Amino acid sequence: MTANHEKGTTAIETEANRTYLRKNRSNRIGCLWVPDLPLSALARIDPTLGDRPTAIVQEENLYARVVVCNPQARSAGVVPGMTAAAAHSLLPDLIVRPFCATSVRSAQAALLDVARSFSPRVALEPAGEICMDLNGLENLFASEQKLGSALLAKTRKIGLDARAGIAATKLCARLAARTTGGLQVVPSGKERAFLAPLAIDLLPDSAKLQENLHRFGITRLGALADLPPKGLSLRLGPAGLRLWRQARGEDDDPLVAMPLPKRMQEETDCDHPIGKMEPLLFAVQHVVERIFARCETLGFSVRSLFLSLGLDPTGTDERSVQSACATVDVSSWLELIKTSLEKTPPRQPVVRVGIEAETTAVRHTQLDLFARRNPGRSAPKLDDTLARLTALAGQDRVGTALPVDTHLPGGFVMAPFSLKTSGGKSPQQPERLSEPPLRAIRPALRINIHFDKKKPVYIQGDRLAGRVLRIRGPWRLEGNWWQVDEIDRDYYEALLANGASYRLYRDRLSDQWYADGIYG
Amino acid sequence: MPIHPSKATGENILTKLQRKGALCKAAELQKPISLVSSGCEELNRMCAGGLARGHISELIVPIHGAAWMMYDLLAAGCLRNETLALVDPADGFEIESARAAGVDLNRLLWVRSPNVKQALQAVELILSCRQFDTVVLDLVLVQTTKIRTPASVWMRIKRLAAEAQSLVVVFSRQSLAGGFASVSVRASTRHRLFSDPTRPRQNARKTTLGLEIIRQKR
Repeated sequence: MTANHEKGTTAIETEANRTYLRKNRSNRIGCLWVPDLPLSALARIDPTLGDRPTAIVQEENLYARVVVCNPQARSAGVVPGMTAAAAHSLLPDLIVRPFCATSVRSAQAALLDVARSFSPRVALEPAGEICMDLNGLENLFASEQKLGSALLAKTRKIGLDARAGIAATKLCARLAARTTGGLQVVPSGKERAFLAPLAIDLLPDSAKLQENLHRFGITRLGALADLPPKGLSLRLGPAGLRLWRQARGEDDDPLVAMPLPKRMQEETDCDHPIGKMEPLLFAVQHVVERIFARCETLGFSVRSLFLSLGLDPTGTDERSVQSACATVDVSSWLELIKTSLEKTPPRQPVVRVGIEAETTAVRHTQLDLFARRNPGRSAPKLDDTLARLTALAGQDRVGTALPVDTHLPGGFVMAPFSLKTSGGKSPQQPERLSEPPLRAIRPALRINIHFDKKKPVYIQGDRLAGRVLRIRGPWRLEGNWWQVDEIDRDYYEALLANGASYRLYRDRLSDQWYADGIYG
Repeated sequence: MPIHPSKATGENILTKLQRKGALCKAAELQKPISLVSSGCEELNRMCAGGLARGHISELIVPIHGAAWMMYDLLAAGCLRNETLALVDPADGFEIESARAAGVDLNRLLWVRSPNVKQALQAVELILSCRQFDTVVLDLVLVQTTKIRTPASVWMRIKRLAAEAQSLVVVFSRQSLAGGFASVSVRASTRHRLFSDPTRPRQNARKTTLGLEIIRQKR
């Protein structure tokens, strides 16, 4: 009975929580923040750093100043602002790396993807936090604690150690994330109480106002919230009034949502120029894996990859790799990239690897709302084969031939081949051909024709020769007179004494004879 | 007469093992040969129903008069909803004739390899993919003197065809696969394009074919 009672109480509490959240559904904001983002971004790219003491400097020389360092380095006395040489004297094992803007951008983009996997309305704040609209998620998660835990778990999956805050206002959520070691949920209506003990320095984008408030002796947000608004407005202007409202938990800044990107980009700078294939593929693999981890977060698949390889000392090698079907199978993509790189290797050693993925949504399986369609076990294998065949035979020599809308004989274009698994009309038995089929001779074979009293009697060419038994024609064909490759031909069908029937034509522009097909 | 106890026990054991599928006769291990239509009734009749999946079939044809055999073979594959591949080092595939014969171009992977060596490599790649039911290698327009194919290539193709259970058909002017082909058929054509002056290209095909099996292994 006690168990039932407890169960009932929990259910009532959960129901009360849900009811409460439904009432306040217009104001639940989540925030993700990664402390020391440059360090976390670096650790994401280079997992070997692990727990080793690391510091990031603005430039890579002994006089460069430490911008940020991890707790292991801080515990040894390394602090931001110190020169790299001084930091090394304190801690000889200190790993010093230059600031890498590309890795920070990639980490922020990955963090945005995590937020997008929870909410369609996501914003990147100027101070680097990711805010998201969490309204409507109360039916998917039993409590906000569980929602926050799921957010953090997904962030850890992409290699970032983030903090999360959930509150009714954007500022409150941001400060909740910044003042916790993990997750902090501020219940609705408790914003002012939460903000009151926090230092006024935590307020973003208000350094000048903070200085003035310090001069007034105001150091906590609670003290600021207790000030009379009229006097504050007179002394500090509208900005001061806005700060006062924020300190009371009345943040009315809208969440400016960012559009969902169609392409995902990841970059990495190599430690040293890479001139060999294997190390280059190793670097590429890490970038591809990071992109695909982001794709899986959003349920995307990748259709094509654009590689941008920074060359030493200057220059860029750009190439695109296509896949017959969208997939996030790393080994298949690496095989395609390897084929492309082996076919045309970079001209110089590579110092930077940038990959941009063109994504596409993976459709869900039928009769299941959540299970995503398996791209097919065979599809990556086909991609590999097509890529290898293209490398073997050449570009535009492998694929599906499609007819073009032209009256010229033999016109076609090559299109990428893909497996036709279902759909479309079922093929039907064609009627028997009324005329013999043709085997094309590409390029057309130049021939000489010997005439006897203006009648062709003998054909002589590189691979064909014979006495003409019969000849039919001509059928005149003109076209493309408005272009450089004008066509003006007289076509004939000739039966030779050896039994072979050829399609011949006389180019009226050059007065040359050609054979461009064999009947039969 | 009483059965010897040890013999009875041995037979029982064999019967039980056979029932469980742990024991089978050598003849049972041989996979049944799956025959598919080549699209040519005469050829099907000669080859006891059609060409064998998982084997190499070789059609030795003259330079003229056998294109329709290839198009009909591809069209028959399309009728079976198969995925097809044509490796064509001479670049002689003519899409209008193929479409007229009933070939669904969307089902056909056309590989225009630059030479015979790469064509054979392409066939191996296609077969190792195991996605193609019919693979056609067209070497008819390639100059006979240029074709040098080591036996090891055909052995690999034969093994890959068996693994993929694909129909591999080689069109050439001379026997290339030799003993690695399950069937080799020589086709001689007596094609006359203008046999009937009033209907110059009508019914030309009916009079053209002469087939002869020069090697068959089943």
